[in-house]
Amino acid sequence: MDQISVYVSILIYLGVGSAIAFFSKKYLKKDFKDFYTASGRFGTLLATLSYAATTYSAFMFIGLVGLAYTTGVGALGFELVYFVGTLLLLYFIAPRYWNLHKRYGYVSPAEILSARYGGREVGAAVTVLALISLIPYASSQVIGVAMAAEGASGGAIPYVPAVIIAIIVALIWSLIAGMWSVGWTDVFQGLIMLFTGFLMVLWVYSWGYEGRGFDFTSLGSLSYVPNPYWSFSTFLNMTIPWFFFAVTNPQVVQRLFSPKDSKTLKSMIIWFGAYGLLFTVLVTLLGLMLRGLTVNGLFPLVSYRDSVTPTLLGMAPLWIGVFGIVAVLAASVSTIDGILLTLSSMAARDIYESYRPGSTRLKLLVGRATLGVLALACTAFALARPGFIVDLAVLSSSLLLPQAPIVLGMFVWKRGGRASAILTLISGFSVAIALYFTKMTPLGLPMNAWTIIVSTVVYTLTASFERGPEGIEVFLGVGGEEV
Amino acid sequence: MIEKKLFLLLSVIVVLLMYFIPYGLLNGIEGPLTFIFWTGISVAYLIFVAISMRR
Repeated sequence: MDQISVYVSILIYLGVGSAIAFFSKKYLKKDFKDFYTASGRFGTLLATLSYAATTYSAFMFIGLVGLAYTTGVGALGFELVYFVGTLLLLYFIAPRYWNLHKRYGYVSPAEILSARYGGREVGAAVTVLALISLIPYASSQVIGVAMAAEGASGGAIPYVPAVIIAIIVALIWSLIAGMWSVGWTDVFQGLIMLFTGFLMVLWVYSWGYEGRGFDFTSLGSLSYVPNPYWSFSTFLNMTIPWFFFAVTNPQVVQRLFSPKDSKTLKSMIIWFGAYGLLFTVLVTLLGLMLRGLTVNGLFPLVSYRDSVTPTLLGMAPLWIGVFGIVAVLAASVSTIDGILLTLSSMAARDIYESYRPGSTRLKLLVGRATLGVLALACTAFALARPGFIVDLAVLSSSLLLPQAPIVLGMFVWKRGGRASAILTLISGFSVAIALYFTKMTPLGLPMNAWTIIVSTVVYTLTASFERGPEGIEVFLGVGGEEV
Repeated sequence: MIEKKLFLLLSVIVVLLMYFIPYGLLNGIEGPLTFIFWTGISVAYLIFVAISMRR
């Protein structure tokens, strides 16, 4: 694929996406709440594709394809445990979050935790945790784009300009109309991602397997688990933070505020499920089919797993390469802009406003300044190329994992306040960091198992001795109403 | 409330099956069975969630 074709396809994508972002501005009411949550006015299409595009990222097109290619079918199980966990959690939690947003106008997920646990320190601690934890994940998106551009153009488009393009686009599309521009560009990008997933699988099949079909047995030990990569311990370690992704990642929790009514919320969950399942099966099948082609000598053996999709894009016909690169860019930008928007709302609301209330202009300024600082941090992190995309994504969710007990606990238990919540976060985060750097697995249990066990035990014990704050019954009542 | 408890119980069973069938019953079996199992159980769970939410 030549350099000009890649640049032209990226320019068309940027032009259409920017036009959509500007078009969405007519919906924006220009207040803080509307900028960050669309004031709960999204219909089913917007809510579904925004949730899906924010969730599914370069992790899928680059990371998961490469993981399936290198490690086999366990990659499918890993992603489908996320899928089932998300549907289970959304079934119980989504109506409660939506109700609380509707009744009290909460803008950030951390704000709800502050209200439930009776202290602004809780929201501030969750925000700091998210600011630290989500940098590897957001950066992994940028790494994905840069690798795809570099691979598809045969090195003609260097890594660094691709990183900068992705970050600038995400920033601009977030700033134009906040959740509205992010939501509408997510619709555009979500459709590109699914369409391209189909296109790539169909093309690889017709190019490599027409007439003889894809035979799973050719994959040998990659067609089952356990295998040399997917030991039970590895599978458990990687799926635990993924299982809780829907309640620990603030950029997806904030999406639960956007549906216009309860019917739309339910439709969003079901259609997101259909999208997610289809997309997951497509990208893992792509990785496995490419591995089969390597076995048959039609596709080169790729040892660095994040290079599998870029290698394919470099070999494929021009039109596949163009769609592929645009899809990777779409998947990445739709996730980064969602993360940037959510983190900036948390910095403005849960750190700045909760300590200096009443200054709306400065609050918006803090939000926008946070966007800029985060974008710079992600660029620096991406330029260092610190690891595989899947590993960075799982690391982010591992660091966010200590939130799981306090999020789930707030809806079902009257006990526990500020101290319990903060101690839970500190203990869980400390365990995650300590085991990540020492690579220790006490009693044979992996890092994420210890993180969830320690944070749950600390939460249960401390909350048993700490009464919930005043008015908690009302809070729980509203969150627990049927929708 | 009973419906929600039943939903939770069935969901926990699905999650456990997603771990223990591939690592137990299908352990070491070459071919598409593990892929089909994980895909099939996820499709079934999505249908189950859709029906439960539409009630």
